[in-house]
Amino acid sequence: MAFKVNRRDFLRFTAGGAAGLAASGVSLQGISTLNAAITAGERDVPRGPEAWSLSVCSLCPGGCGLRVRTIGKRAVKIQGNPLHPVSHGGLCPRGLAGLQLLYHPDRLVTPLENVGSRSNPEWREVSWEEAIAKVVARLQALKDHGQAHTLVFLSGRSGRLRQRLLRRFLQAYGSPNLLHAPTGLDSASRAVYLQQGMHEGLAYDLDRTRYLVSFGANLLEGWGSPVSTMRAFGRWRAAGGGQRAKFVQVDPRFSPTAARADEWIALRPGTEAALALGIAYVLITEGLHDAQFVEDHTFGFEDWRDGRGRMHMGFRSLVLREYRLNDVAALTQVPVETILRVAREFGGNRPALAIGGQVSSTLPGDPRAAMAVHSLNAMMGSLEVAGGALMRPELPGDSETRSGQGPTLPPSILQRDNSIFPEVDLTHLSQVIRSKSPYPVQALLTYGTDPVFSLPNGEELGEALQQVPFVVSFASFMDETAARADLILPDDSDLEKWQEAASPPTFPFLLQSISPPVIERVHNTRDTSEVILSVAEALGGNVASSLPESTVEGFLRAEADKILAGRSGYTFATQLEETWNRLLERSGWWAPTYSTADELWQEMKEKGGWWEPTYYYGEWGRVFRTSSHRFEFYSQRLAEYATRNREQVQAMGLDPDDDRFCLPHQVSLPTAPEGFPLLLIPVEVLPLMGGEGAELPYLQQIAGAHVFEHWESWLEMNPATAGQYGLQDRDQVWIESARGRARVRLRLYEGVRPGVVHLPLGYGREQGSEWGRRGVNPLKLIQTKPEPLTLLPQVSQTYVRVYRV
Amino acid sequence: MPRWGMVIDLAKCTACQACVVACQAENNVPCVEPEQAAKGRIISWLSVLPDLKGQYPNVLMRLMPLPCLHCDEPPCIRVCPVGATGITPEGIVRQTFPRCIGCRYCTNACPYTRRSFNWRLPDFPGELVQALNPDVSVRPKGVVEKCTLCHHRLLRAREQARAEDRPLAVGDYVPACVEICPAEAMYFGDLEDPNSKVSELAESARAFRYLEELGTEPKVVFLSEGEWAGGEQT
Amino acid sequence: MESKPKGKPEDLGPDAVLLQPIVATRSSFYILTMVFLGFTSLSCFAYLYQLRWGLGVTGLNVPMYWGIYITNFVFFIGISHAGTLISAILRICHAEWRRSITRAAEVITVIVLFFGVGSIIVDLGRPDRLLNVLLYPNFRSPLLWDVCSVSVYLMASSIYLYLPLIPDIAILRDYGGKYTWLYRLLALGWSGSERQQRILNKAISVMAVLVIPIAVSVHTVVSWVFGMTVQPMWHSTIFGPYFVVGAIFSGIASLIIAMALIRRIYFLQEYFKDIHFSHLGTLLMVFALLWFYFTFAENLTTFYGHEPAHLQVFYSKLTGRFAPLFWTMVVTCFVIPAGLLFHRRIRTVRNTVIASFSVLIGMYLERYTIVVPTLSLPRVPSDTVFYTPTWVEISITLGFGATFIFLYMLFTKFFPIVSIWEVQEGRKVALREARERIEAYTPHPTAGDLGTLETAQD
Ligand SMILES: Nc1nc2c(c(=O)[nH]1)N[C@H]1C(S)=C(S)[C@@H](COP(=O)(O)OP(=O)(O)OC[C@H]3O[C@@H](n4cnc5c(=O)[nH]c(N)nc54)[C@H](O)[C@@H]3O)O[C@H]1N2
Ligand SMILES: Nc1nc2c(c(=O)[nH]1)N[C@H]1C(S)=C(S)[C@@H](COP(=O)(O)OP(=O)(O)OC[C@H]3O[C@@H](n4cnc5c(=O)[nH]c(N)nc54)[C@H](O)[C@@H]3O)O[C@H]1N2
Ligand code: SF4
Ligand code: SF4
Ligand code: SF4
Ligand code: SF4
Ligand code: SF4
Ligand SMILES: [Mo]
Repeated sequence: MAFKVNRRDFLRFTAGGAAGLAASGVSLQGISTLNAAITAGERDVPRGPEAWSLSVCSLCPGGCGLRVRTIGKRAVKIQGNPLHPVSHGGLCPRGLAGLQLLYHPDRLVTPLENVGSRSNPEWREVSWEEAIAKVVARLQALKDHGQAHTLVFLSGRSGRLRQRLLRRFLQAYGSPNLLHAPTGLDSASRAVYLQQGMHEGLAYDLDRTRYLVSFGANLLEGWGSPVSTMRAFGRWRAAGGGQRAKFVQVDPRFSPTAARADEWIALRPGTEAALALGIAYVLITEGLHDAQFVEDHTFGFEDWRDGRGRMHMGFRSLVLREYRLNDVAALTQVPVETILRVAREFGGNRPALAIGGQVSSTLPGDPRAAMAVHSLNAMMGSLEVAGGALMRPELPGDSETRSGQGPTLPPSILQRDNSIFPEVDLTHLSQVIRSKSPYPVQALLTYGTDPVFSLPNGEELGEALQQVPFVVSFASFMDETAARADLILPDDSDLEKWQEAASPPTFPFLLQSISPPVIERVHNTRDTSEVILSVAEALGGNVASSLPESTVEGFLRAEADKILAGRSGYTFATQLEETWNRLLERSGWWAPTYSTADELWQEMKEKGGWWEPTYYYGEWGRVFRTSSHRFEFYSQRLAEYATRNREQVQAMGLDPDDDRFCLPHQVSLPTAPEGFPLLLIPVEVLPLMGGEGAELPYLQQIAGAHVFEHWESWLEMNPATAGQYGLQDRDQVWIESARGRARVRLRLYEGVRPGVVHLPLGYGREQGSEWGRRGVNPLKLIQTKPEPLTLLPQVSQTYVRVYRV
Repeated sequence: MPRWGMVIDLAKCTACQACVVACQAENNVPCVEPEQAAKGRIISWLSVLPDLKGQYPNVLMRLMPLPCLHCDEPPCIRVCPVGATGITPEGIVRQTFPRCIGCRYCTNACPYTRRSFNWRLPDFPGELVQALNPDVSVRPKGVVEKCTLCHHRLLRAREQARAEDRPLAVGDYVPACVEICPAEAMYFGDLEDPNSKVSELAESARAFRYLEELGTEPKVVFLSEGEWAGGEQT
Repeated sequence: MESKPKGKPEDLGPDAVLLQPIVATRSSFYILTMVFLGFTSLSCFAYLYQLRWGLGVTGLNVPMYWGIYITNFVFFIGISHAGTLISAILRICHAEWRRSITRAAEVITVIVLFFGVGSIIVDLGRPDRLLNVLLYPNFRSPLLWDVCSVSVYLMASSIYLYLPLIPDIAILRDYGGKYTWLYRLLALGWSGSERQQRILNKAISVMAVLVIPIAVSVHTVVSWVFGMTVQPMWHSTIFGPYFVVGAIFSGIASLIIAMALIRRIYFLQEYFKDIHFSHLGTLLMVFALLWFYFTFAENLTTFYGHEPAHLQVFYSKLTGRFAPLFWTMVVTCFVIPAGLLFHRRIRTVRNTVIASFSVLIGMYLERYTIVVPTLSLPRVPSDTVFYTPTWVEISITLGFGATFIFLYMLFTKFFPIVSIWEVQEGRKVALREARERIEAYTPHPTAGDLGTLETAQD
């Protein structure tokens, strides 16, 4: 792409130029040469039979429906599938750029084997048969030596059914280690785990909420399921459409999302919990909360006496005692009036939702903050109501393949009995590999994720990988992880393979998208699921029998059939039909357009998928899996943890008997270390989030629109701060943290909090396409020491210094 | 005779820039490489422009998706020495690439800087050329290009309608940017038709025409952000 | 007392030296030629390079779509006012001192015009489609008005240069040195007869009257290229006269410089006397004042209007990015010339020439600070991008300058740069005419003593 006049062109041109110069005056010849030179390369585009087919975007967890135009063998345009319940014909820029991914000149086009060393690889092309044989041999050997459990499969975004395939494969093979890349909802989900006892399915009925406070979740920059979120945003403000819902963004940075919100509350970073509890204070003191709901469905709001007769502090007392407005205002640096007003509005407009509670949803945040935020929902009775926080039910066939279940499998490599959560987060993987405990990792497969790039401590993992005897990547680009592998088995691109997607994060309704490949393979790549199937078959035995299907289509079909068992839901349909179906279902009727599995399958393929447009509220038993079978302001899971690990808790300087420990509360904030005065907060930009868009020119070109930046990462700083350090707009600066330093261009932006700087995520790849290898990766600067209690990296506590180059 | 127009609701717009990419993909607008971009040579028929006011924490930012506004009194076409740009009877400000001599007078006359110039031969490296939309010609170097209101889509819609011999129906002709907008913040239609959505919105209280004081009479109308109406429940 | 010029230089008496440049060529001429042609080919190469790779090789960008090419265009067209306009005005009001300088002036016009037009062509993205201007003209476009007025101007001033040349060409023909065939061709059988003289003088004075409005129109229209847009600080009614004044201003300056060089190189002190410089200097001074007046008025009005879009351009010039250029312009266009010219005693030839150089620089900056700042600050939000001309633009600009000077030199090698016959005519008729004129307006000319004149007569 780069337009460089290298010396050769230049010389050639000089010659030509001279000739032209000589000629042009006299001969027609010369003139035509000139014209040729001017008009050179005017291009016309191919033609052929036209067709439109459906597909699903998997460039983020959003799971939007695509409509793809093909001319002959070529896909020439991606558009939205109007029938798709998630996206209704809309797409985000990333999804639109899908074609650039498909036809990307730097795609991995054939299996590669690393014949060099891990540290400096040399790649040799191998045939698929050869490649698969190698994988099989390795896995077989492991299995034979009873080491099957030492196989780790790292999976990123991929559809529900493909996940089932992986799980089933691993279970049959004998490994509990299907690990997942972090995603945006992790922090909130952890809170839900502690307060509702549920892991997955957290959803928000954004469409119908009337008042929304977002604590740092960047709704419009790709939060959750970006398109459906943006759609909801549009609905709130629909011209003439009833009363406009209010959207309050709590964020130290005036992010593009904050700019589009109805109100932006600039708070001191890391004090979300305090602010949330401050709001709770107002709700309680002014009696604005939903007393009935609290009474009926929650635990630990009032002080309470346990079985052994000990009194415990409840949420109310905690808030009233420790979160008086003035203290909160002082801590959060949000004016009392603001807190008061917002709290009253929040209490006065139902349904009202509070979401987020993290630093950056991509980077693990403190669950206690998320708990504080989620508690607001409980106070307002915004759980399990239209416009509130919901828990998406499961699709028939989901639970039978929960990881960790099934026959005698050893515990997963990330399970810790001294951890609050059943599994510690992925940043611990490198440590596990190095320490070989609980057991060594003999083989590691990565699919659809690039942990070496995207984990806060990715570099560490990169090193650690050296000690893993066998590493395979299914990446479709030479990413940081793939570059450290022994084998790369490039996956097909979305449009080349069967696509399927589950309900995206935060989407309340059960949904399953399915679509056949849109075009033939462009290169010698293969659908990873297909590869797994062949491996399973080759491994034989129970592995083979657990996956009898020989093709991906076969497998998907078999899984899709299970939907029928649920006896509910419909294939995608027009808005009109949907409202009608909802009506029927509410009154207990179910009149699907299909009756047999074949019809269901046909219709799913034609319309893009199946979904259950009705949500059944108030299934308390399903959504409260806590020991109290209620929503717990006072998390008994934490209580139980504290009793289990008393000395460990004491070691952290906490009192296991202190009730605060189990209640949402504001943790103390770190102070800037000597010589590192500025707080670094990485932010996401919609186009590049997750890092994968970086190689796509379309996205690089728009990534920094709010500061007119493109193709490079930039450091956002408040002009006042800059003045303080004698820096100017566009300066080349070093940003240095305890971990290292990086060179980047400074952009002054009034939206940045004084004393804070922001670096966009998604930049700074070191491998693969030259278009992706631009800018710096903020995670390389970030503080990753695990916070003792949650064992999550303290990403929000990175301090830096910035100085001119 | 319809007068095609667009309404963009800034209250609904999330500034996601899907419209920007949709336009690029639909109209084979080349991506310029980093070096060129750094020189400010990006070609974009539609861009989301930030307008930031105030100081932290009292800042306001309008993020405005700005296509060619298809002015009824377009300063750009008056100045073209060769009539390479003009306005169709239906009000679309067109650009005739094969006639343009690249003097860039129009680009300077457009008060909205909505016109782009092909500084070099458009470059679609490697296989990317395969993703080109066959309905739209790739512009040669040295000419000016701009939003055509996806004119090719109008032509196709007309053919379609003629084939099914029926009149052009509402929604037959929708530009790529409007079609993709995830927040449904863009509306498109016939401003002549008094009961079309666009003409209704174009009259609404929030409607404004950007830099209207210049007398350009844009046919792309914006709806201002508006405010939360309050609304205590009791 | 009529005497037909004979074919012998000595008959020209002292004026023979005017033929020197044509008959004898010093080696220095060839050296200079090499140098200038060097620049010329550099610019040709640069242009071919631009043709091949597109305007991307310039420093232009969004939104600065125009740069020094357009600046050159305005500047060169401005210079072109040197000749025709000045000489025409002087002719019409019978300024006797004009006789020896008119041609030096007129030549500038004709030659420089080509570079004005050239600059536009160089700026085109698709010069190969230049003909479209004729095939699909759009007469609402000020650019097309330019095309018309400039071509008319070119024709008119060529004729206006040519007419007074005829008698001198005849001299060269009769003198019968090199290229006699050429001179014979161009002399149109000039015999210098009474009749021919009368026709010629008539034609010249008609043209003189004609070219003035044309010249004025040309630069007015050039200004309208900017004035007719709605862009901040372009959209201004003052631009017409402002540009014309600026044009004449730079015209005079370049004329002064040209004369200074010629008199130096060809030892024509006798023809370009200090008094000529002094007169032109005064003229320059007058225009410096005019220029300042316009510039002041223009900016003050903008400032008072306080229209945001205009203001940001205004401040970018007075205090912002373009301040250095702007204030250099003020100094070079006004402070320096005013300082050097305001009083007769310091208005030496040297100072006049210095002032002229300074004015040329200043006027170039003026054109630049008119074209670029406005473009850099559009009404809609945009990033601050910087425009710096690349080697291509600079080479082409230098090439244009060099080629212009070269062609001018070349002219002096083929034709007398001082109108021989007009000078001679001056000696014969000037006094009489002057006397008649004075008598015409003096009350009772016979009553008083106009004798001094009489005596001077013979
Ligand atoms: N197009 C596209 N969409 C995507 C993705 C994609 O790859 N492409 N990825 C999806 C994925 S995987 C994810 S994880 C989501 C992530 O998308 P989001 O959930 O929106 O994550 P962020 O954009 O990082 O939101 C973090 C915001 O919190 C603010 N913040 C930082 N520190 C603090 C703090 O201390 N307090 C408060 N209150 N705010 C703070 C930051 O300024 C930033 O604005 O997006 C999803 N959507
Ligand atoms: N630097 C950085 N780190 C981040 C983030 C960030 O924005 N920047 N975001 C955080 C967030 S929100 C998340 S969710 C995680 C996500 O982080 P990851 O899950 O690692 O997502 P990506 O970094 O986009 O890496 C996805 C990789 O999958 C490969 N890939 C792309 N398409 C396909 C395909 O169709 N099939 C297969 N098999 N592989 C494919 C590509 O090589 C790409 O490198 O990262 C977190 N960490
Ligand atoms: S939101 Fe996610 S899934 Fe939807 S289009 Fe964008 S990238 Fe694709
Ligand atoms: S696509 Fe819609 S929401 Fe996104 S920027 Fe364009 S107009 Fe705004
Ligand atoms: S917006 Fe600019 S380009 Fe579009 S019509 Fe108006 S003046 Fe012309
Ligand atoms: S650039 Fe092309 S369209 Fe614009 S004015 Fe010149 S010729 Fe006309
Ligand atoms: S109307 Fe068509 S051409 Fe114009 S901006 Fe939208 S997509 Fe681009
Ligand atoms: Mo994520």
